[in-house]
Amino acid sequence: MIRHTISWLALAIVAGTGLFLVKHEVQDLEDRLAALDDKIAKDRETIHVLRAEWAYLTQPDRLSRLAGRHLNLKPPAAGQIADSIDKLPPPKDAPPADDGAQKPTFATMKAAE
Amino acid sequence: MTGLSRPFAAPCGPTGVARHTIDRARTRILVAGAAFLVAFLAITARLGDLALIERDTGSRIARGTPGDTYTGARADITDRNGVLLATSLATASLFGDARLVPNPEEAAKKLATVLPDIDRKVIAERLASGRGFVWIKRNLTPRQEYAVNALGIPGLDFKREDRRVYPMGTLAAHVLGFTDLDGHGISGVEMSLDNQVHKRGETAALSIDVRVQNVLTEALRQAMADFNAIGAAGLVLDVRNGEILAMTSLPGFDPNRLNEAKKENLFNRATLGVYEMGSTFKIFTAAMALDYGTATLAKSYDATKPIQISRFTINDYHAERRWLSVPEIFEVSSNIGAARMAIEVGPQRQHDFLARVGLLKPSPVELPENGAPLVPNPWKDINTMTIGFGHGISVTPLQLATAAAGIVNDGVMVSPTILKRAPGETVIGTRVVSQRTSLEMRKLFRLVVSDGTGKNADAKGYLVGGKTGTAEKTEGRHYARHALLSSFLGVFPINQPRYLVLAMLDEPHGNKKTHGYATGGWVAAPAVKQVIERIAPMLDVMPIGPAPEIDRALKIETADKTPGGRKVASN
Repeated sequence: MIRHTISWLALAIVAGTGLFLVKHEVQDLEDRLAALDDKIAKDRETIHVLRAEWAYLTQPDRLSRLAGRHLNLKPPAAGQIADSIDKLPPPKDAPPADDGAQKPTFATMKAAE
Repeated sequence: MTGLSRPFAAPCGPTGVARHTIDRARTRILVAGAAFLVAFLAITARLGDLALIERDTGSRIARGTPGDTYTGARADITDRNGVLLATSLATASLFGDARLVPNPEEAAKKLATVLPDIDRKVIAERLASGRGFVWIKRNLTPRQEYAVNALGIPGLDFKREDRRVYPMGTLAAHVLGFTDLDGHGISGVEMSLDNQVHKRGETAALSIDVRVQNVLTEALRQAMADFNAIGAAGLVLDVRNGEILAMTSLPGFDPNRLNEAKKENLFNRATLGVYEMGSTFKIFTAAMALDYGTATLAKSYDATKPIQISRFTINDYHAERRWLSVPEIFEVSSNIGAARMAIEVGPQRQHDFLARVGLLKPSPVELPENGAPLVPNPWKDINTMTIGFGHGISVTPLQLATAAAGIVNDGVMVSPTILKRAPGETVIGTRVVSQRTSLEMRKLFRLVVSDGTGKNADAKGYLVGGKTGTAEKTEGRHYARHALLSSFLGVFPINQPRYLVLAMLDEPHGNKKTHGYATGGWVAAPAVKQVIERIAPMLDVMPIGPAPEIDRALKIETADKTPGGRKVASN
């Protein structure tokens, strides 16, 4: 009889301790979750602000102003656009297609196909 | 149990009553034990269920993801490619508890040193008012917030507020509109989508493409400067589904700096302004005459002399003084010819036709700034004639573009929209003219650009078709000869129309390059050409080389034309 009582008591203590530990662990996890949620919200807000800033910095007229200042490019004319490589005219300084020693160009690459 | 006097399992040996009692007690214990067993089993099962078996419950998802946006914030507005056009950012707003501010004068003076745009006197008065809550300045920058904190004035505090910002600045400002300080939309899309953006928090994608918008705005701004115009408006419309890819009204404004904007610049000329469009209206005269069958492309009208009707004289800008065929009327933009064509159709049928293409009632576009057309009443013969060449009726540029898009889009007109349509969405339009009429109109459009008044819009490779328009603005009861409204309506590629570009300049003045002309063909057509050349590659319209078969398909067979004998008017 007494043995039974002791073993039940031991079981109860083990269960109680286990429950206590698990509870603490859950609490820790919950704290971490809350902290992470907080951080996610902050990060989202930061991303939000950065997106606005990105949009602001990529205003088309600002980009074209910068491109005008720093790049040697201008909008393409209709004659400079082709929808397939076959429609490209051969480059003016294209080497003869059979000259294998030359650096490959579009023309030589095409010829090699 | 029955009590201590009769202990459980009495040693004296069970007999009679005692035995009965013991049996009863056992049964009771058994029943109680069974009940506890069931309860413990249930708890065990539930524990196992919670601890061991993983499943996605709704509540876990809801708790695990904090809201995408802050509460109460308006959602973003983006263009069709997801470029941010309007968003809300958290800022600090400064308020004071006037009961706690010890020295209002001193505090206002200090505040003015870090917030240069506040009025010192007003702030001092507010802080001396004794009220518990007075605004000092809303939406401070982080730097200002820091500076105010550093002043250390008691009784001041910050309230977190959302401020609407428009990262693209003046670009598409009229379309977007703006909100009041409390975040309610009071114009443009901000107003018409208030429910969607504010309450439901859904990001709204507009049909606008910022790249196209920028090209259009730049071209119009340049044209406005070149020709010294007082204003300009323009739009780019997808003729197949009615999406407005760009819409500009100049001079513009910056919605981030509303208090610096001139009031008249807030006016959206493209949707709110109604104008007598002039010759671009001949599109509808020709389409209607061809569709009702009162005219064919081979028919000619007498344009030998001006038409006298009541006290009006209808004349041509560059009079040809001869009979003109329908293509010629369109090509040289003859008012006399258009008037004769219109009167042949008659007032009633003209009225019905214009109603069908949506020119007699406000446009169905989702913008609060939507001008109602000015329509003559009663609609007499003289009105029919003047409307034939675009005078005596005022419509918004958007209405004009929508109706013209319907005529070139195989005769099917769709409602214009400022919202992005879902890809693959089937758009149901209404048939306004027959396919045959549409094809004939496209040929006329091409003729204007290849040989007529719209040559300056001929963007090589993109098969532009269009119609010029020059209207004299009314001043009081008279038409002002030198205050013009010059426009060009272009469609490309005209063999399979995809996009319509409309440019309109308010009171342009000719310059040396245009030989002094300020008509649509000289001032608006080049802007449209420039726009088409820039936007076509963005919109996946490939330029084509010389294509004789397409040219032939768009050619109009005319009986006897005397080449060289024709002079092209620029009206």
